[in-house]
Amino acid sequence: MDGYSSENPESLKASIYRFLQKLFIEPDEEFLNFLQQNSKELEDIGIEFNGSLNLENLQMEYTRLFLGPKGHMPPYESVFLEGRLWGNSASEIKNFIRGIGLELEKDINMPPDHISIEFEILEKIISSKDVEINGMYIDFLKRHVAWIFDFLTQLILKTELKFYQTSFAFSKVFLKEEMATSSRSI
Amino acid sequence: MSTSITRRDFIKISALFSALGSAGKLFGEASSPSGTKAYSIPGKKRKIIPSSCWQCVSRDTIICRVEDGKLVKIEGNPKSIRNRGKICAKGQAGINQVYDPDRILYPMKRMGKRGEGKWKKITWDEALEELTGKLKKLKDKNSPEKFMFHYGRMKGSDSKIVKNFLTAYGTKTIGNHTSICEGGKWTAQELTWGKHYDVWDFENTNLIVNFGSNFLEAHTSHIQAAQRGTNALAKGVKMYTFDVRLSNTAAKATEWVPIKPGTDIAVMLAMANVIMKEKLYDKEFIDQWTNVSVRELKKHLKPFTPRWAEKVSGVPAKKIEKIAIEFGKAKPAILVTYRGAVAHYNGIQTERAKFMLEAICGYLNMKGGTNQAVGPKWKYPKTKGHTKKLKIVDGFPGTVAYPTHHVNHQVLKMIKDGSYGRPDIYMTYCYNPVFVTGECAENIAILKDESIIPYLVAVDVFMSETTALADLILPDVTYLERWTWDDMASFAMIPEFYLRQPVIKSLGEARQFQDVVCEIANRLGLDLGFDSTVDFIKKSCELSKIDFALLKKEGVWHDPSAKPKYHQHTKEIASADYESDRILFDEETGVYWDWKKSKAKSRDEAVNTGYSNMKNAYKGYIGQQIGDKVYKGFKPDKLNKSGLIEISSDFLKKKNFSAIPAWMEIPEHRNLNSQQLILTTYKVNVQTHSRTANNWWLTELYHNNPALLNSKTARKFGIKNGDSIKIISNVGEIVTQTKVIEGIHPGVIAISFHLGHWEYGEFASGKKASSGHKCVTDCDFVWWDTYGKNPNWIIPNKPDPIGGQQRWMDTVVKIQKV
Repeated sequence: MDGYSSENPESLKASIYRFLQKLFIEPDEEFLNFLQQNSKELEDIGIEFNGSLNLENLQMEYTRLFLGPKGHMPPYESVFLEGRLWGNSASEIKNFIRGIGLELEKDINMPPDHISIEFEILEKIISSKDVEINGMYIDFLKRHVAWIFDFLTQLILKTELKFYQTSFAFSKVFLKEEMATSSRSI
Repeated sequence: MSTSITRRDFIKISALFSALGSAGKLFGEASSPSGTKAYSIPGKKRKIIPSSCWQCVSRDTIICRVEDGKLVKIEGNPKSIRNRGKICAKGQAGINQVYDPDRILYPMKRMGKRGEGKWKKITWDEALEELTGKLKKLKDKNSPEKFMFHYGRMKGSDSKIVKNFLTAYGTKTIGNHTSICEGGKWTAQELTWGKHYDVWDFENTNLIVNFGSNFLEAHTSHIQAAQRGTNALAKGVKMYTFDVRLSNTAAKATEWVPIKPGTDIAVMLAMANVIMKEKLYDKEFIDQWTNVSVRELKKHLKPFTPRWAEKVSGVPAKKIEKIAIEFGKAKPAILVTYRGAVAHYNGIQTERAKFMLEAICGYLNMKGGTNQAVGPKWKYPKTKGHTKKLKIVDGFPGTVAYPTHHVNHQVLKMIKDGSYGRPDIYMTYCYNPVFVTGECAENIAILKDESIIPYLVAVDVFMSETTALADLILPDVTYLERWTWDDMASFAMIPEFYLRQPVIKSLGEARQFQDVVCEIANRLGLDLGFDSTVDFIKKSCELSKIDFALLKKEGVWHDPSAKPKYHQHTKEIASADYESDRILFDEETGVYWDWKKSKAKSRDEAVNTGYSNMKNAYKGYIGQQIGDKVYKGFKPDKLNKSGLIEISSDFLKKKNFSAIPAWMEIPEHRNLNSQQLILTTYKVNVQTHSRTANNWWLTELYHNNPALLNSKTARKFGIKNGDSIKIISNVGEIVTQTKVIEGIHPGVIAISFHLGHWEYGEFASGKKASSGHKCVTDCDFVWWDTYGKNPNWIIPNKPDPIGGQQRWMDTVVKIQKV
């Protein structure tokens, strides 16, 4: 299973975060192929993927939802919470990334509080062998999951594609469960 | 859909998602080892990056404080001799331009109907493939002029780079926006003292007389003018402000003199009449530097008595006399004008009357007077090419005598008309014609009609009302992510070289348009002689002998040994500079000129045609003979005038206008009935004309523009403060609220610009450009819910007959209580 074992729930979660990270960046051929090859399995977890969905539809909906130029929801924590790009959340995330010994790639042209970056941070934390970093998981979730929750709630209402609607719903359920179980385990 | 995820589900998911492979596209390993406590704030060391503002055309120099890649504060650059460390509210609020979530960050292609709002994000490669494909087709058909480029704000190297590209491509169908600013003022100056832009030496003057300029709040050199003007007032210098409205500049004046719209020239003529009568004129200056005599002036001005002017303008004759005498005795004084005086049917003659008044007192080009602007003379790479153009930028034939700054508010009408050709590609750059020119409804109808405008490309930072109608949007960077060398006039009278440089990494996929044109040129196989904006700037620095590295470090440079350039016209020209084969002496005007710089094909043609009639002869102007000497004089620009101040203009005479400034009545203002008012527009200190309304801080400061009415007028119409009224002109009607005040002429209704957007973002329009985020207009800190009204819906697009200035202040309206 490519190094992921059912015995290791952390790596399972890591793989889900990887999916979430890709869900919120612009869909490409590779992502579509993945969806097509796994449509049945996706349906098993509630994500409805209609095989007739093509890349253009997916990209247009992604544009409408996240890129604009009008009526979109920029997927950044500081836009959502502070009404501006590069707000305090972005600086906080930037510090955090550095704090766990990572650095954003130089060619990333989005502010660091992009929802995909936050999901990737969660993936990195949960996969880290460093106990101290690993221990930050619940703290990071607590700090940042609230906006994601509200954001997803609005997105579910906004999207016109079943795939996105069910994926966002899945994301919500997963995060809710994660918050609950992780809090309990502390 | 499952409502919970069990451990079992995880296993399935894991198998599924592991197929996605590793995520890690976003991060690389840091060079420093881990271990720093997450969320710890690193040393908050702020980098200081000098640059220059671009919220408005003043383009003041700034320093930006950047903390860990994030811009946190903008201040004035204290090393600048122009704005001397000061900037305005708009400049300080620039942070909100760059971090505005409603910015357009990706190239977009229209998917639905034009203006429907359906877009697809495309890559830059796709966008440029599409655009260059169309450009190439036009060029191959030898119709490059069918590519029209229409810009709003484009200055310094931004302008030179794009114009180089347009030259290389072959189109001169280039529209600008000056006629909706102050084009008429510039044409008047070109007809009178030559090169345009007047700088007022406030700090050394003894009196300021201001006609219709709100320079303490809004001006093309806002902070330069406002801080020097304020210093003058603080020293006790008197200021009289003639204005239809008690602007904040009028409020700061010694006296506000209300005046009927469009009659400023009457007061100026009467002031000149008094000065001649009282012998307060400067005979020597008139004889030496103007093309009229004292006798001619006296004769011409005789009918324009203060009593006559009182009847026309409503300003008491005694007041006019008093101010005229103070003006004549001040030695020196300055006379300030702007759109309030100029954006009228008679605006050109008004501006010329201002120069006549200053010239007869000898107050031009001197310490404490009105001076010809000085600015840095950048040298830069120039691309050569043969160009063609559609004749649609200078207004309908026969309507404007000397459109030296074009007639941009007629462009869409001319395209609609179709008789003068239509562009196949219409590209707007930092320009929102739908909103900023008059007759919004017609503008929208034209731009929406694909049979009139087949392909509309918008280069923009925000979703403007025009960009919303585009077929292709190319996202530009804001001024804080941009490279430009710049060249604004200097109120210090010493040229200042300065730079705009990116203070943060550009966001999303926004690209500086100047780099984009380099790429388009490359795709079309055109050689520009430079391959990027930075390359162009470096080459300009080399040619201009400016240290690029120093400019990057300091933001500004001026020659420390330079002295303020007063008396520019008195510079003597050495005989070696005008005694050459290429240089001709024109007997009629006394001008020495280099015929090779004109359009003359031979020396004979130049001699036979003469300086005045040879196309572009002004480009070869060397100097003006006065007595037995040759002086630099008042160098011409755009028109072949002499080196004298042409108080009497043959150019105007030829077109049947009064050669010497004289009263010109505004046709629409003749026989106004008691139900009619004159609509006037104005600007405030915290917004630009159209580009800052989505700026959170600025819109918090200014977000409503009720129509201002005098209390007497309001009583007459039965209107109370706050009432809704309908304002009707002959091109449309709007409904807005009123604000009843004392500080406005009773015959006037005033609405500011800036507001009333229906696009541009949430703060500007109340409609979210981006949405979903909680914390904008529905957030606790947003205590206002008004978006104002754009008066342009009811203002006709009408040019003045001499220069083509949009007549912002002439509209006759009726009002009704709603």
